[in-house]
Amino acid sequence: MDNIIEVKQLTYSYSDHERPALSDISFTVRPGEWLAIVGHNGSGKSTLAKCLDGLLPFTEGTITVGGTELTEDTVWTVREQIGMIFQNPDNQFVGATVEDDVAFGLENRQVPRDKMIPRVRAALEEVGMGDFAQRQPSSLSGGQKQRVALAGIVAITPDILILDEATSMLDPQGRTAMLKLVRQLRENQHLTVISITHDINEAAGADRVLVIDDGKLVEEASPEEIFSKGDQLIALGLDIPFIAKLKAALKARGIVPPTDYQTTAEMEDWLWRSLSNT
Amino acid sequence: MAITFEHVDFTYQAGTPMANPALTDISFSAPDNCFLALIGHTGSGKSTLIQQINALLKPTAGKITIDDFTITPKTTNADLKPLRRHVGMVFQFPESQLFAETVRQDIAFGPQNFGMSETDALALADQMLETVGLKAEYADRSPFELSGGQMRRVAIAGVLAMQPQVLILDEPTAGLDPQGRQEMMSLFGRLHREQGLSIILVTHQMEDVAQYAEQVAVMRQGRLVKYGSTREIFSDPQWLFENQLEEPIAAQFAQGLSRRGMTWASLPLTAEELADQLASRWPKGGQADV
Repeated sequence: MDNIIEVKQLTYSYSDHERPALSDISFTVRPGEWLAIVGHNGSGKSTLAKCLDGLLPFTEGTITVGGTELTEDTVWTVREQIGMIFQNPDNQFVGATVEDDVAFGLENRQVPRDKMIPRVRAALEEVGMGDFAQRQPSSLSGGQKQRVALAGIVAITPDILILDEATSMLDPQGRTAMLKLVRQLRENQHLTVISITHDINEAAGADRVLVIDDGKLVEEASPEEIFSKGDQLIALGLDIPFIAKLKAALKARGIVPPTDYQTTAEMEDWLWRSLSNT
Repeated sequence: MAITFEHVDFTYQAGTPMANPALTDISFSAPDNCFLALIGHTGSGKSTLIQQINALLKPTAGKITIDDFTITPKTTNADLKPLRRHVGMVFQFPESQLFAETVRQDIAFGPQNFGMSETDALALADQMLETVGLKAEYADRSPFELSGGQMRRVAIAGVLAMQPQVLILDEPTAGLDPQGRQEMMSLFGRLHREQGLSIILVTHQMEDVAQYAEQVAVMRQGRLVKYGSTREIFSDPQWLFENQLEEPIAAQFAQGLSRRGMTWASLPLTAEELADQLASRWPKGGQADV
């Protein structure tokens, strides 16, 4: 198959705003790719994600998902292919128990009960929440709720997973565990992943990064190219990686570090060589 | 305001079959003008603990002293009004509590509730808007037209308008982008430095702890397992690891160099501290003194 998603000249305006939230955006996504979309708060990233899922009726441009052009008539065919996880785990829990919540998407698709039960169970096992099937959502941590949301998606076996700042409300352990799980699901279920994020670790794991600013696509590059921008990153809605901060601090003290991108290990090497007697 | 906890226990729904102990035997003392970071895993009791400080939850046993105020299980709500004026609480996602028609009215609500005249409260609101770094033109807008980060500033301005001496912040930067986080934290740093506010910060961000906090309290399963200066807490990497707490990235990086034989006057906790120590031994056109 060619590109799993093709977006051409997409423009979207909220009715009460003069400036479009998205303006003339074009990009493609290959099947199995992990694409990160970054940009500061209010740049239009989430609007883009909602357009992809047919949640916002854009008027200009086209979106094609899995060969189907997104229109009013095809929106359900397109949504079949996309699972989406939002920022706040509390805003997407619909079931009274964990298993009810995972079953919700299957019920919507009228999957018969005898098929539904094993699928719910398998999905919960897949995300490591098998022991929590009967639990109520209020007794779960944020990270556990996001895993249940992922199970809900695993159960309906979409081709594309969109994470809309899905780790931003989790603590560091929850965040690391969630990203690990997404990586594992991508492998096992052959998912295409689009992650909208401010987290540099999440963006670092992507194959490609799109930068959105003021509703426009301003850059498309590998994570390494993006991270070499150092202190410009903060304006792109990303944090400055530690190595870039350290280089800036050294420069302020009259020490000139290498200007090209360096990993933590490369920086450590350089410092050690500069400081040791060899 | 100095804050002292003495053997504080707290149980949710005490005396019922649903009783659920959330705090056990908490004792510590934070000095006036502290910047105390409260860290620990989700569910360790951090949010329960901070709600004791302005008595939204009262201890089921033990005693809390905040300057001249004392909170015990017997304290009645009538006694608490002066305390609550002095202890400002910024909950998680405080923007969800905005309600008024304009930003100015929303910020002025608290002081008016405590008896300030409308004229004074509105003037104070404008001043607070400036303090949190929002332009004066926002005063007449609806808070619901603002971005998430701006809404959060308005909510914080509303708490600051009460002119508290203690500011309690429950994950105040959650959900903001890195620039928003940075601006928010430097605002709290400034309030602490310039206006002498005591700050209690619940956070998972170890970089913020390293950069801003002076004292750190570590919670685990409802108990206070460690209390000390920020440097003391981060000086024991093994203990942090065993307690699944992350170290600041600068400290992790410095230990990579330690493994090669580098020694440190004290373990650097921020990029700035690390650069200071590296610069002090940098070769001046020759070899370094390692």
